[in-house]
Amino acid sequence: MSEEILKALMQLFAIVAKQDEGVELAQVEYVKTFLEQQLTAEKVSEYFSLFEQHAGLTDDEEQQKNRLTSVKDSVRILGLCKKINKTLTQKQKVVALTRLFEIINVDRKFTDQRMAILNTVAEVFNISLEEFKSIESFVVKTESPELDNSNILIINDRPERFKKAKKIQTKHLDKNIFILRVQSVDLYFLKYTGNEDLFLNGLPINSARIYLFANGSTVKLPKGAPVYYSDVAAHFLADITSRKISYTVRDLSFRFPNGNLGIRNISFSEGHGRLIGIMGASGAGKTTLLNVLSGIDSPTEGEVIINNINLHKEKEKLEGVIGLIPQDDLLIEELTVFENLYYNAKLCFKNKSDEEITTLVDKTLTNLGLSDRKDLKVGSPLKKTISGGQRKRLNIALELIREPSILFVDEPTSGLSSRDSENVMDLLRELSLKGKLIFVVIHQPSSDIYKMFDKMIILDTGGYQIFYGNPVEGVMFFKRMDAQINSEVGECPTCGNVNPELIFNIIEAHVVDEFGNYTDIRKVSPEQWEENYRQNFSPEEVEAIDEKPPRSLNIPNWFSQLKIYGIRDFLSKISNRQYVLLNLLEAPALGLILSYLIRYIEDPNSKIYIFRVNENMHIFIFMSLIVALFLGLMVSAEEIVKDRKILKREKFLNLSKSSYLISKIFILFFISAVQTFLFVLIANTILGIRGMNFVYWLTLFSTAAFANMLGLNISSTFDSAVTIYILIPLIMIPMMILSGAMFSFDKLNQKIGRIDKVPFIAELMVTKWGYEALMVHQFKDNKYTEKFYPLEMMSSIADFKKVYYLPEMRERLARIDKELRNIDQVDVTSDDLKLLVNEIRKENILIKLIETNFLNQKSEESKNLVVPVYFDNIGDMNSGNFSAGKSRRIYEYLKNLEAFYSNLFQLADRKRQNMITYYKENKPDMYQEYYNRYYNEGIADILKKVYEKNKILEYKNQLIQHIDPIYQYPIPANIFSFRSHFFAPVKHFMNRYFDTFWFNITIIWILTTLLYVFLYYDMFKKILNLGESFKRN
Amino acid sequence: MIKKLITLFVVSLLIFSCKSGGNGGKSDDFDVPEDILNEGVLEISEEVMQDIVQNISSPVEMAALVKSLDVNFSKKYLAPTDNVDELATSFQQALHLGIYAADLGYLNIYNKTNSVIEYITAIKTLADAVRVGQFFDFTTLKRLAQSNQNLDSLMYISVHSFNQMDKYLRSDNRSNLSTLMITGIWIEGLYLATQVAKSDPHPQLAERIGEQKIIMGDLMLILDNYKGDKNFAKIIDELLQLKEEFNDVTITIQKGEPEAIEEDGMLIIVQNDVSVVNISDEKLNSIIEKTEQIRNKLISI
Repeated sequence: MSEEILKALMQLFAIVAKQDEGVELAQVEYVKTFLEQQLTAEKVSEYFSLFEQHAGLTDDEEQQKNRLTSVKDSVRILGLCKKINKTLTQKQKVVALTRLFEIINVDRKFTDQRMAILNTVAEVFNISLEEFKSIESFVVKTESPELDNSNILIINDRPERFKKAKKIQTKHLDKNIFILRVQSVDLYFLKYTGNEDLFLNGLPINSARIYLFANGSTVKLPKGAPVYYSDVAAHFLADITSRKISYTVRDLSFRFPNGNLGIRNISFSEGHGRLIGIMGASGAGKTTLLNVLSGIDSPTEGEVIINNINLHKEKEKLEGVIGLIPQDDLLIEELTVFENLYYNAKLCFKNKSDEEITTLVDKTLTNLGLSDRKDLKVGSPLKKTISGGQRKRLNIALELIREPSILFVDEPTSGLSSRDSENVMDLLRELSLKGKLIFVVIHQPSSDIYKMFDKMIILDTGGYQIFYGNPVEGVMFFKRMDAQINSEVGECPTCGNVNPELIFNIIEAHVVDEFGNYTDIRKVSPEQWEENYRQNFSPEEVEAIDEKPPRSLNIPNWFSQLKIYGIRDFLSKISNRQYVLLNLLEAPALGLILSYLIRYIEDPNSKIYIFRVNENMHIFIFMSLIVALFLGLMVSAEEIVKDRKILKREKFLNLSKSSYLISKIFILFFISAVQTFLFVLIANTILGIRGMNFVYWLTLFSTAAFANMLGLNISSTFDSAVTIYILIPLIMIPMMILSGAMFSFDKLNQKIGRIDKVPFIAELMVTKWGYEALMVHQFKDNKYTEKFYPLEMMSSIADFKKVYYLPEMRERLARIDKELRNIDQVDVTSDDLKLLVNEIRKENILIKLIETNFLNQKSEESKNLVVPVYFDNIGDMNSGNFSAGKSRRIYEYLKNLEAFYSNLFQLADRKRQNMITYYKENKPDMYQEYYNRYYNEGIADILKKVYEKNKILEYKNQLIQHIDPIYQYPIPANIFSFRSHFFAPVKHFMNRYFDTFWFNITIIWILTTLLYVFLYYDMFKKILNLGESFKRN
Repeated sequence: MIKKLITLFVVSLLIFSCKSGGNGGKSDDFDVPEDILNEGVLEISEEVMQDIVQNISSPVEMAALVKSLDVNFSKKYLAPTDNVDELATSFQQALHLGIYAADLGYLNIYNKTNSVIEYITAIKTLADAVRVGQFFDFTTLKRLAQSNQNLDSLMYISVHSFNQMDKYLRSDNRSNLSTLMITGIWIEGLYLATQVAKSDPHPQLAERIGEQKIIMGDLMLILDNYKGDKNFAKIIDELLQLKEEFNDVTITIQKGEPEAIEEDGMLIIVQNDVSVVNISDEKLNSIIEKTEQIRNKLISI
């Protein structure tokens, strides 16, 4: 109580007391006792003198004459009340009014004058007449029938019933305890009319006084259960809860995947509004039971029926009915207390507006005593900003705000101080009194907490149900079974304490050997205890309720969830300054290091950097991809592991997994986009890669996006961050090896590598696609080469055909001819013939390509000069029907083909020469500049395979070109063929050709999408589990 | 802090996009008018030239002569290989291919294997660019050069490679390149000889230089076929000036009796004709000067 209110009270007391016949001794005593309860001894006299002064006790005769001038008092009262109005809250005002009633009640002289004063006070305080009346009658009246009022709760041991007043039945109480509710301010007052020793929060109750029955208060009665604030609240709130629940468990057993039974034959039945504890030694299966009861795990046998709905078989009907508060923290450490609760609430209530949710969250936080902490970050358990008890309360608040009908709480008090434990339990108790059914796994409860439970389930090692019933009764039962004296006394007769430890001491008592030492053998085995229980108790099932259980969930649609998740994740990331800074700086730092180190100038005496002669470019491209992969993996690998517990809870809310994932992915993609952008910006500038920033960025971003997705997959597959970091090299190294940058694909182990195409396993490597995309694009689409590329391609094709290909073809034809002449059939050389047929078929496709892509665009003149050559009906040829005539046809065809390619070469090469000559004559400087700035020799050497010894190879009855891959069309085997040789300039699919860069980027995104599907269905985890179950079998 | 970073990010984004945009505008200039592409279709009558070409030159001829005169090796005569990558047109590439071929011959004769690798590499690059690389067995040549032995094989293979290239180019309707290659070989050979003669005069050398008058006549005949091409026309102009200088050189052939001699158990007939070359020191000097001038111009392109 503040000084302010006390001063005001003293004055009001004085004025009220001195009315009529003046201050009586009892009133003075009352004021003294009142002050003594509030203040230290020295202060008492200070305030008491204030009272005396205003009550006129110190006045001389003269002034005493004036004490009847009530007008003056009335004015003073008005003045005081107005002053009080400005400083006190409504609650405090109600308290003050009640105290005024109390002082009058001391001498029980309810004169008109006094009542008039109180009326005035109530009016000025804006207290409604109805409440004024009920306070009045509460103070004045002492008998239960007189107080039959809807705002009154009566506690006594008589079986009487009231029309309006609420009633709590108790054992042996001489008189009544009255509790008044002042609804407008949600306050409770308590008075006791008898003479027994009652304690309010451990302090004795004086029957003359009226007590404020504050939140969390307990009244301890001489006998019988204590009355909790929550009990009282529940009686007043009872009208509000209307929906009913029945929860019936029948013969529930659960077998672990390894075959052990976790729980056996659990049966019980409960209705709504109960707080049920689950106790047991560690390893007895408490959490397992909770998991089965809450529907996370399905039982091996038995069933759980909620309002005639099977929990495990008709889950969807019970969506939003059940809530779970696991033992672990479910908090997002980077967010504030308020934000944690706020986003959680947003995910639960779609219909509520932001203001409503803010109000609701604020209210919940206030209820939990967290309102002054609401803007503090939650912090990790190691780096605490809020205390353990506050964390726990916040965890509970997450579910509490939603108020599910059935709530499961796993060890809410572990690690909390006894005060915090009681607060938390009070909360749960209150919630249960509002009609919820609450299961709590509890460990070493204090006596008070133990007694709060309505029922207690006790499990013994091995999952045996050895007790179910009233907690105190439980103590008595086990004492009885142990043949202890006083077994009918559950709690301490003097202090009312219960010792739950006693139960476990009895259950787990060990046999003593002849030397008096404890052995490992238990006196009574769990099976025997179960047997004992079954013999002594036969619990009845509650009546099944048929109405639909109330669901307290109204989840927003997919898109809103996405938005909420997104904002929540974004806020939590951005609030971690270290994380933001590191992620923003890491990429440019790597870009700087990499590009600075490899900025090579060929001429040691020159300071001028020339992009063209920097031989490190292909390594740079490769390394950038590795950087992108690493960045992508690092940023994502821990994401889901971190959120796993929260996800487990949110599963209860039936929130969309895809919106969670996609919001996560959006944020990760955004981070990766920024990172790769910064990397490219720095590295490309330093290395002088011009006009390619977007292309590099897109490739690196796509790679990083793939890595993000891969990281998320790993993160959702494996349980710990350590496993994930061990796994990263295992993923990275194959990606490096099979990127095509470190080892040439055609020089790998024969079992993997192949000559004509990229090996299949490498097709799965995102690095391969990215590396190829960038190398090909850098070479063929830079501002210099793009002018010459089509011509160079034609030159290259024609040259290869003339120099290597056609001679090979002729050689084979000659071999076939020779055999044909000798034995008149194709036998030994049938492979040669197959090759010829294959190659001519491919040649037809290639010529068509050249005709459509190159010749058609050119002038009429060149069209006439270069005549495409086709070979019809090549499919008809085989070793059976081959003849000299056909051989002649092929011979002629090859001859024409040579002429075609020769002319094609002339045409293409001449144009190219003309272009260069033109540049040299007209724009020599610009030509040189472009050449130096855009062309890169190192990359060109790799893409042209200049150092390749074998230019042409035979493989599976085909001739494989082994030089100039960058100028070579991939010839498809069928319309779906999309694989090609490495560094192909274009890619085939569905009879169309696509630019390699865009094609490869598309493939990367397809792979990324595939990984998303894997992620969504947890495929890797399933595969892993499959492997494990195989191992077991 | 975070705000600052975001600002930085946005600013850099703007700069970045401006830069990319700026480059885009410039590229329009780097274009070729469409009609340029189809210029200069070369029509060459082939067969006539073949025999002449065959006789003109071998990359080792002059070098062998110089070596036989006991003149010391000097690296300064050689054409530098630094700018091989910047030779853009096949015209230049073929010409340099010839020049380097002559230099390679010179190096081979003197067994300077260290530098040989440099020239083999240059030749390989150019041969690939002209797309006659298939005839130039780079790996073998490199190995031979490194092993420091098999000088004869090295010489044989390089000479053979050049003959192959020449033959292929002519068969592939690209005798213009073949001609340029030969021109390169010839001019570089002449340059080597004249440079040696300049620092170390020798009557035999002077005579051999004078003899080039005949070969030059053949070469000019071939080159004349391509005078329609601007680049060729320029070379022809230069060489014509050199030809002027050779005008005052006289060569008379004295017929001798045919003689049968036995060599490796075989009987062969040798025509004992002797050609007498008349060249004044003054003329020699101006030939030396002119050759140097032309050659340096060619390699500086």
